[in-house]
Amino acid sequence: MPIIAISAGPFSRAQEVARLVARELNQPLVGRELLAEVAAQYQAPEARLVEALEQGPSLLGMHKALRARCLAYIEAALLERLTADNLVTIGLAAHLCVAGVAHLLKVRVQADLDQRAQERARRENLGEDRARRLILDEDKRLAQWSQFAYGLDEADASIYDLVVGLGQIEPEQAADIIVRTAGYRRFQAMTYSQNHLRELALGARVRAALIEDHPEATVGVVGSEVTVTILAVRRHQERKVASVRELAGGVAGVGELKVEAITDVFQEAAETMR
Amino acid sequence: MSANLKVLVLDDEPIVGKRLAPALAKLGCQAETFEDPRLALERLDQETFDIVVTDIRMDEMDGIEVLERVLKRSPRTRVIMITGYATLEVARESLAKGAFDFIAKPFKPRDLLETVVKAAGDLGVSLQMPAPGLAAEA
Repeated sequence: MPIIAISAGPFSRAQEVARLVARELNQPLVGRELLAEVAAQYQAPEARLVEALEQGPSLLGMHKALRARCLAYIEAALLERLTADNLVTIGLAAHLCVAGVAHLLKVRVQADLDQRAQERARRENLGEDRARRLILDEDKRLAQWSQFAYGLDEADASIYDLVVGLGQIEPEQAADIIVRTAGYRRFQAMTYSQNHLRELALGARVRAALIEDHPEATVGVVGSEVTVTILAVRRHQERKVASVRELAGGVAGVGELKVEAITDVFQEAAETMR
Repeated sequence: MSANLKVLVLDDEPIVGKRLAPALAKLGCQAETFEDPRLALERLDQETFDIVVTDIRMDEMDGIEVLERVLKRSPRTRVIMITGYATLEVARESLAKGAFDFIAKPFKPRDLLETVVKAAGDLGVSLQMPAPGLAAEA
């Protein structure tokens, strides 16, 4: 069975659909509760992790570096969980942060605005007009967030394998469509996609280990061979390479580790001119 | 029965067949290797193979075409696709068209052998993986 990543705008009843899919397939549902584990593992406040997953860029909002750190921690934990296969995930941006994995079925659940406004009005005891305005604001904010964090518009249907509208069908029927689609052969796990997912997970673990001290580092993985590329002025390269070796070398699953330092000529030029 | 499991390997890079043939023999399979898809298809018309391992991107023919012809003639045959140009789209297309598995190059012979063992198991044949030591990449 593929991994099923479900995405939806707020108040789209997607949680209900995800629960039904997980129950039907007898698979675990991995959602925001994972953030408590991430918070404990990386000593990051859970509220910050949630913020990193929801808030778009703003002047008084989360600092870019902190957001990158939080997302790196979430991705590392999420990808680790996904390598176990056979699960349903929602609310953790798997549809945005996991690319090229053939057995990850990306699903968008779409309810129409009136339905969502009614749902919100009912849950929060609001007028429908106010609920509608709040939802539109939130959709806009989430679109900004996904563009900012991953360079993708999460409302764009073309990034999904399946888009299910709840306008004319019930969540049970939507879940049934998703379960049947998950049964298609093209979405089944294969050696290539499982290996690719393991490489992504290893890369994410290494990035999470490096991001505090080396936020500029890029990580490439082939099998268990890891290549880390950093940008540094020449006089700092030796120290930085040693630091990367120490941090990345301790990550579980890292086999051969190559660390490449690229000279930061702009920084060197800036230092010369001081 | 494992000694009778017939495996055909098709890859226009000679090194692939050269490395895989002895590894498959250690598994107890009868392996035949081909570099020319036309010759491989001629052979596939003469003989029913249990497992076919085929490259996808070859000068003479597309591995997807090989897959379709093999399964048309023998739906029971398990076809394993290998490629140095793996993408999500090609991987999904291969599975949708009936491939048993899809493996990206470079791979270690042991990785492929594990898939062959799985394919054999799917055919009801139990094969034992040989002891580790086959680490060269294909």
